[in-house]
Amino acid sequence: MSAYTAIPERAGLDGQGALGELCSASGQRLFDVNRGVLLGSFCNGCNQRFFPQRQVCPHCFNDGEMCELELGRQGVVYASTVVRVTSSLGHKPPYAYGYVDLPEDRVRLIARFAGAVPETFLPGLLVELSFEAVARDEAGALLAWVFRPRVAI
Amino acid sequence: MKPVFIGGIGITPFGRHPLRSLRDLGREACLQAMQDAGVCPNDIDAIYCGNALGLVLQGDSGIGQAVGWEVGIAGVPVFNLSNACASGSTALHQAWRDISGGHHENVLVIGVEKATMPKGQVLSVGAGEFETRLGDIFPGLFAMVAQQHMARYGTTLRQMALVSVKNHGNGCLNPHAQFNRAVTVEEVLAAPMIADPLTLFSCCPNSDGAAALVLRGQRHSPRDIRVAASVLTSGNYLPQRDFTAWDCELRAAQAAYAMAGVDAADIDLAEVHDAFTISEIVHCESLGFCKPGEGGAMVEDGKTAITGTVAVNPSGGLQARGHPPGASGVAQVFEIVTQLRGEAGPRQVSEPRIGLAQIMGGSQSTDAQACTVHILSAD
Repeated sequence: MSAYTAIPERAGLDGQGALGELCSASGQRLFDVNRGVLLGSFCNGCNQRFFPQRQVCPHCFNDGEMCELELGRQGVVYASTVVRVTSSLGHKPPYAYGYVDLPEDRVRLIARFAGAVPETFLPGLLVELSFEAVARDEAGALLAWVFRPRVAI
Repeated sequence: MKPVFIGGIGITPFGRHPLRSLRDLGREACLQAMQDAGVCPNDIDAIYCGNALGLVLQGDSGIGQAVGWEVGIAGVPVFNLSNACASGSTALHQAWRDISGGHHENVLVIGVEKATMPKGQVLSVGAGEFETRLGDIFPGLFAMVAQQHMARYGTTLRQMALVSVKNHGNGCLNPHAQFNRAVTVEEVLAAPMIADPLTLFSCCPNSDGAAALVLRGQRHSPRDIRVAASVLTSGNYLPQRDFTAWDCELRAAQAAYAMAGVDAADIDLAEVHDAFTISEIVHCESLGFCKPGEGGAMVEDGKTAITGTVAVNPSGGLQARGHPPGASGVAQVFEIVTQLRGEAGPRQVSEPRIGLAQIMGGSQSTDAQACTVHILSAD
């Protein structure tokens, strides 16, 4: 982690005015809930895709230009865990999260899981993109992407 | 490159020190190291200080200068280095570059941290990162490393628990360790779950403490230990990387063995980054102590015990010695020097000649941001 912050318990979710939509550390948008998509980028030099968006292609540098891209909605769980303690920012246990591979984009991204008991999301499970609140406190809720089982469980 | 020797070492007890400051902890470790090396403040040509959290947790910057002031060192270049859990070992790496490059003769290395939190507050790292705000916690990624390692290699919960059992057992023999209590496999497995499959006793604590070293360009005594290799790497952040190993560690190990002119079979003892039990298993594989996938069997067969083929974390490791992030990398080297001098008392490894220290720090795109490997030689 590049940033270290000491905060009183529960105070973190509304930091950076981001109650509402989760955004990147640099304030960049990560998704468009109206279109129901995650916003990635691709390099028009080598066609590699990225999430979150990058400003510079690590392979092409000046020989490629970054363009915005809507990522695919279908994924496969690569790895997962179930958290059994309250996080430092106040996320209430138990909750499942992990890493999802988007095969069409060859991108892997972190995601919370929803729509089934937390222990469901084992590697290989087919999942699809959705959006919902991933944390709540007195001031409101934090909206972010989640992945749900593609077939009802 | 000029040779580099460690002539003096110092350490505070690790644990909770609510009434002590960073400079106070640093002073204790530095005075020990300077006395051990037989040097005065005037002999020190530069200070390298590793600390990860002081700026935010204590509001302290310039910790290297503050500790230098405490022990009477002024006027020399001071470098404050931060690389998360690898801050202390990064300070050592830079100090090694300084002497091996011929710039200075005697250099002081400090690792210091206060990472325990007042009651009612939790240590929050990376709160600005979107991953953290989504619910990512430190043990979570390592829980997934464990999940992947178990699926790919058949590593068992019992094998992972045995890392904690071994290291807590070693910690009982270390007067500087935070925990001096043995645990059983059953206790590790029954401890409160943090992130499946890692329980509380699968995770190291956050701690307070300091360690220090005096490095020099010449061997002054038979107790001086030679730094045979010092390597720092960073991650390559591959978009779909394999969670069962860290490429930056494989590269660091390979470079360090080449620099020292030894291979993994020559290592008698190692201090590795056992922040989580699964981590030690992965590090044993990546450092070449066994083949990929055999790290679990290695601990189960007792090969990493103090009496094993390669003693891993004879100090108790982060699991039992405790983990003040900026100090751990220096504390690892304190242990290896103590062992190579034959001064480790009840936890002494039998006649070791070569030791290795490995630690990683930070996280970017599931990869480690930093990894250091140091190889020390009694010869």
